[in-house]
Amino acid sequence: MTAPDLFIAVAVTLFCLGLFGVVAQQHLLRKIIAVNLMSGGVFLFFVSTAARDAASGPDPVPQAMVLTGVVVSVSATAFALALVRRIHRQTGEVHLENVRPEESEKETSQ
Amino acid sequence: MMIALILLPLVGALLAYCVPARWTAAAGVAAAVGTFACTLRVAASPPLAHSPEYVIGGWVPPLGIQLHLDGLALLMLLMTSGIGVILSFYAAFFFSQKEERSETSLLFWPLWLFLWTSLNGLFLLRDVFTIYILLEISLISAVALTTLSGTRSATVAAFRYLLAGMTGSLAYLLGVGILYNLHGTLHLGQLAASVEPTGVAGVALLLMTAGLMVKAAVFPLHFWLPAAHSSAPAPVSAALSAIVIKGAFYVLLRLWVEMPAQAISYLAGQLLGGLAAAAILWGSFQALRQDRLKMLVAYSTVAQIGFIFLLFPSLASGWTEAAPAWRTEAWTGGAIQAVAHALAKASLFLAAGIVILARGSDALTATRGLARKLPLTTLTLLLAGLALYGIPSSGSELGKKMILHASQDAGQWWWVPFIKLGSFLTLAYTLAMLRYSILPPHKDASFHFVPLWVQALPLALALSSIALAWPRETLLGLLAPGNHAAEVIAAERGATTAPLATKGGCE
Repeated sequence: MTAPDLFIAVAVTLFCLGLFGVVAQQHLLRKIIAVNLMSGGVFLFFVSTAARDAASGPDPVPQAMVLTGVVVSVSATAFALALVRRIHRQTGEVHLENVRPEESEKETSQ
Repeated sequence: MMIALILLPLVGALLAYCVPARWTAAAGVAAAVGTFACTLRVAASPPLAHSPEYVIGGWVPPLGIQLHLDGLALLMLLMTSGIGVILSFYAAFFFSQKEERSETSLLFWPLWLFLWTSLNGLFLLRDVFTIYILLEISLISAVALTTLSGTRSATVAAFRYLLAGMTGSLAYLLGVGILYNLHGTLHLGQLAASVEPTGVAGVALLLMTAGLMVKAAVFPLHFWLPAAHSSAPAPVSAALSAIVIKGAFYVLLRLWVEMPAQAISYLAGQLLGGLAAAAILWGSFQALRQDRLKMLVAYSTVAQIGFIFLLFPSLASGWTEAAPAWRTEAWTGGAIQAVAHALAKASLFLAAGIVILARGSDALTATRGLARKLPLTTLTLLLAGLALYGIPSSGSELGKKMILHASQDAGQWWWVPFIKLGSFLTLAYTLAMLRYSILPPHKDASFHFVPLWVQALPLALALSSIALAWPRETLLGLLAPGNHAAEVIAAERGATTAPLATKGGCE
């Protein structure tokens, strides 16, 4: 197994772990971390596939895509964190399961 | 001119954010009208087939970004700008009402125009990575718009929406990464020309499809939709339900139509069809059970997405070198159905917003007396429901009929009962939606005045959904194979004149 293959295996593992986390974790912060784990996996995959033979050097396109992807991921994460703060301020909860639906129902029939 | 479709709403969004608060709505409406006019200008500049491409900054693909206009893209652009301009006038009124006015409501304008920018971009771009960026921009602006109503349930729904959308985007992005690794290009046309039906490419397409299905809210990945679409302010609900999910649908349609059908397995098509059929049943039954107007309309979206996605099984069936006619019929019908749904659904949500403005609630029991007090809005709700059901000569009737024919021609008769039953259920929940409105109003019930011109806006949308199939030849001509990128690619694959392949051969 070459180094890029190993990286790709790790990347796919990270992606799957993250996906599992998004579904299985209840705490909102953990969900956000899980999404970041997924994006970490995707970015590692991109960087690993950029490897080419030594003479031509790595392919710059996947690296450029990772840079763009990181920017998107950071902004989306910041937004998600802001939403969690607002959820906490409005409900006092960090687990969605504890927000009783009938309470929120009443409020929306504004 | 084509680039203005992206630049105009973008500049409008920045302007709307920068100008003083009392000018915000005016700037927003001006940008909306400008974009609408620009779309009409693009649509009117003939002939479509001769100048369908625009390369930004002179950088040719695969490095540069290329805009590509064909019949399908034009139809989607027209749908978005038509709904968008009506929605903008409606929103200018809606957010000026004191019940809905708040310091955050002005943020509607920049966010809505950013959303419009990203959608116009999605319809025009053919670079799978840039599509990912635009999907994220549309996701973030859509989620931010959802939170505008400020209620607790809206915030929670927005968070679920964001998380689901981000997960979907990442699955799509991983698929993009795999395809780039295999073929060294991100241009959809070049990818389609070089994709081989291998297992790895199949995994990539599967990941991209699954990611886009989350964003298009296909059952059972629709879990985020009803809460998000029903808790947002009415103009936002209309934009989310009518247009935003069509963005993801459009990308998926492009992917499935343009990829050689050998790359898409029969089983994947059947799976997607099964989920679509389940969506029709589940969404309709849930819609029947709701006691709030906007929730009912949101569940109706889940069901209607099912109708549209029933086009996919016919796409992945028994491909021969000569593309079977039902393939074209399936995606054309699906596109028409998508537009018909967008118009009718925007109409329903805007009408629901009028009910909220008038009654202060969207509980179905609060609609008692609606037929007497707001006859125009009651008529709108009825007509929009009938447009979804597909009364003769409506867009939905034509779209469903084409999808149905395509399934039959493809030998997949088992989808037919779902379409028939689904139409019946649509009629059922339309009537259920209006069941209180014909009763006499309570004595103490107050109806606030809503100007007639505002009530006329959703009515115009409902009527245009019904009238969509009247210019039937024009509509089908617009979507005809000659106007479609798949034909260009088919020509490129075999022919000596391959402008893209030669210009873009930097790899």
